[in-house]
Amino acid sequence: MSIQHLITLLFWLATATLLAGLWRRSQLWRQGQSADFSWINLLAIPKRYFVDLHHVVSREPFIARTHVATAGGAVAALILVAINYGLMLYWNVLNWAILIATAIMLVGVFFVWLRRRNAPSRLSRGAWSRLPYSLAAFAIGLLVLSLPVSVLAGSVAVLALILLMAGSAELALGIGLGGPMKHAIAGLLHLAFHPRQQRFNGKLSTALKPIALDVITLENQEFGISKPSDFKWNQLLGFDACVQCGKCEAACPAFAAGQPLNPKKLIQDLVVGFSHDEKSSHDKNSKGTDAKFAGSPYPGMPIGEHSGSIHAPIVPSLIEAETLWSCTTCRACVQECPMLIEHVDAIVGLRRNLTLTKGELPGSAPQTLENLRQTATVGGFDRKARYYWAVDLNVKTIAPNIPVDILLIAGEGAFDMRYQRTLRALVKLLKAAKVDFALMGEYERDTGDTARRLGDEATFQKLAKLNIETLNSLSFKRIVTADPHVLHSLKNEYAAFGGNYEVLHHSTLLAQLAASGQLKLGKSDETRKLTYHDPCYLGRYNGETESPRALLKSIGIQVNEMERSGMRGRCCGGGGGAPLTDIPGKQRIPDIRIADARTIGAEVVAVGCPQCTAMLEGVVGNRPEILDIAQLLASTLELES
Amino acid sequence: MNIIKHITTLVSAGRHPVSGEPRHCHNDSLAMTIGLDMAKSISAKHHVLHAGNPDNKALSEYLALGAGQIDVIPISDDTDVVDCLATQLNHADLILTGSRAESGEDSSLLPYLLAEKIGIPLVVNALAIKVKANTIEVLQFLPKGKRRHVTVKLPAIIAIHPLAPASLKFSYARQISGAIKTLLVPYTSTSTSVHKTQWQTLASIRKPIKLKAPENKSGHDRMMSAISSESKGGAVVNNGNSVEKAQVILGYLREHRLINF
Ligand code: SF4
Ligand code: SF4
Repeated sequence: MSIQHLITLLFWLATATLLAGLWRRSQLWRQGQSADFSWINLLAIPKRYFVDLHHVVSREPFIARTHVATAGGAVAALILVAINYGLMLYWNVLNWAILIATAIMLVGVFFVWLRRRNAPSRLSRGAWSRLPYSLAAFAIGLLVLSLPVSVLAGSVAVLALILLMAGSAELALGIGLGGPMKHAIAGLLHLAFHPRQQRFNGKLSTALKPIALDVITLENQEFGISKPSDFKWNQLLGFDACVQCGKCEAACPAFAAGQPLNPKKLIQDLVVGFSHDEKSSHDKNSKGTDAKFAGSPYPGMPIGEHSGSIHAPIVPSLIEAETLWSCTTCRACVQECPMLIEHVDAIVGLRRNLTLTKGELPGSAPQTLENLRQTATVGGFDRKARYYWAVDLNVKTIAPNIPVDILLIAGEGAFDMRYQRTLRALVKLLKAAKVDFALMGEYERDTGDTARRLGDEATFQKLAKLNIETLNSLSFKRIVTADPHVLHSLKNEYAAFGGNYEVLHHSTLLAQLAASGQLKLGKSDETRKLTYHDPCYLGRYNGETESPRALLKSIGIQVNEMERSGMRGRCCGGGGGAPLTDIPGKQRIPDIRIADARTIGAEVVAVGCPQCTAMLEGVVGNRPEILDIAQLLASTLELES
Repeated sequence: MNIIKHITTLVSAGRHPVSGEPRHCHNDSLAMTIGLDMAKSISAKHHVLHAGNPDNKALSEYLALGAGQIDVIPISDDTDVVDCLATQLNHADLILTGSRAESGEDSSLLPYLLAEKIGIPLVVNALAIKVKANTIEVLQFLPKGKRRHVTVKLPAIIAIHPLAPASLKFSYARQISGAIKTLLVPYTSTSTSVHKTQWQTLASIRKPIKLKAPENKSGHDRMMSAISSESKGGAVVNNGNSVEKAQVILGYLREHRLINF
């Protein structure tokens, strides 16, 4: 048999192995719950790969180019091998093409190797460390074998064939066995069957999806996610796409603060969970362990002590509850993930089980939920007291028979004396712009945002329905709020319950008013160095990063950007109920954010959210002053008059 | 051998002091949680009993907190609950309840009246309960961080202190899967409750202020009086009959102008 025929044999053998492996992997994904999907989306993979995925990867140009060379070369080489050897054409020109493709691949692999030599701590080692070698073996083997036959001495050819076989094993066997290369197949399929298809239409998709509450939905009588098999199958597929690049880890504020959360490990733990089927093992209680995970652990939790399987409860044997309660739902991980994995959906799904089924929440979260149920406020306040800060401002309160242009919803911040200053500044601005607006008064119930992030879907839905009923009985054109959490719930999440409103953050409305000339702002006398902190729920959740900056610029303030800003802004630690669950770490998240501000020498941090205000102002010691955009703008009105 | 076969926890309908929303009474929920844990550990049966309106929304919160099933004696508004509870509690070996309700007469006298009516012992301010061979041992709350163990024969009523260490777990799944069962024989009582016929219930506007004698003490004295009862000052009156003792208290209240009659 000639070398050529051997390659053909090897090719078909590898293809068969790969298909068998793929079938095995798909059986694992299919253990999940059914989900809406469409096969047509398979056709969308190339566009989604080159546009949506590349958009994320290209934030790091070095690795983007490395990946293009490696994967591009490999895919080209594989297609060519399929044609030339698979179909037994054995044309010389195709051999030359293979040679070029593998050479490109080899260059890419060289850079993979270079980077692995001093890899950042966020990268996983273990099986991933062998990748440059197995890929190089594949590329070199194929490259040598595609050289003109005359050059090859018999022994070299045999050596090359062995290399090629070793390299092909990484692709053909590795994928089915869950090796690093599974990311290629799972990643592409994940692009087609992604649970949030809107992401590929250039839109943000940040609203949590409602779950049914009237019946106990799953066969095991549980709400939310209890075992890996409770995830939808396309979520499981998504987890399998993870390349363990650790970009989520590097972006995660909870990880940085030393709280026991690492989004990368969380995804890998879930992979461990769904990859182990206790039923197919002779020991019915057997579990897969996290011992093979070769990346950063959850801070303070050693690796190798947790294990899980597809039908076993995840908490606490696979993932500890503290890990889930550390998350601020800031979506920084989702923003950074090149494989477009949805960590927050997974975390909230797991929280829903802890909250709705078990009723187990740490810290002051249970008290908060009880307050929301019994008073429709987070702090257990009297709803009538929400607008006390406005008694002397002569602003009307909305009522069914009073139509207005703009309805101002204050949110929970209204009970906080600090944030009342912001709200008063906002009212002043709206008056200066002669806007027809009204306050919501005692009609206002909490939007349920905190309840939903804490997994209490029941309380959220109850509040949402009551609020929608109230809002639908009132007559207004637009809603404006200074609280991005209120904004997110009303604008993005109420639609699922029949509440469709045009909701604006105060910075958006003020920017519109300023641009149209309706709001005449002066120049600020603020001479201190200023930076702007993007609230996660305004930036990442709602894509609004420009209006606050434009407004500050319009009053003559230059914004000095901190290390992480805009859509990639660093969280203040206030979201997702994290201040309530209050999982201990090594430092506090707001301290890290203030350190960012200090690093650039900022003396003022402009904010646009009551949570951010409270978190950042809670930082002790000598820190920059925290001022809301509205306060900075309103102070220029005084200068004018 | 385990002598406790039936534990019954009495729960009342609470009311949020600010919003007026019906809710569970926290203190009763503590009692119920202690009862449920205890029933589980000694494999006794646990019952939750309420006298009042079976449709009261407050009850479903007890389901969320783990009641499983709540038996309701449907009584009209003006019925005195003591009588009807007493007739229903024949089988209970141990009766648990909170120390004070959040609505109604709210006098914290119910456990006393009930114990008197049924003729069984009562231990109030219980923090924890331990089951012994023929008795139970109650850890009782006393002021200033003091505690004492009280051993009591069964059947008995134990009123749980509001600071008892039990963590409440509110689960929506339990709330919708639990059941509220209206007991078939409605109890008709001859005695009527005063408040229900003559009182009006409103949400509170202000927090109640505790009447306290003004203190004029140094920081050190205040700290000492917070941690030990000896240095509290005042007097302990052991002698005399109840009228004389009451006179001493009245005198104290008048001296500090806490009352003006
Ligand atoms: S989840 Fe995404 S960002 Fe995190 S390690 Fe995996 S691929 Fe990278
Ligand atoms: S949402 Fe934020 S806190 Fe939660 S895992 Fe992702 S990065 Fe970490």
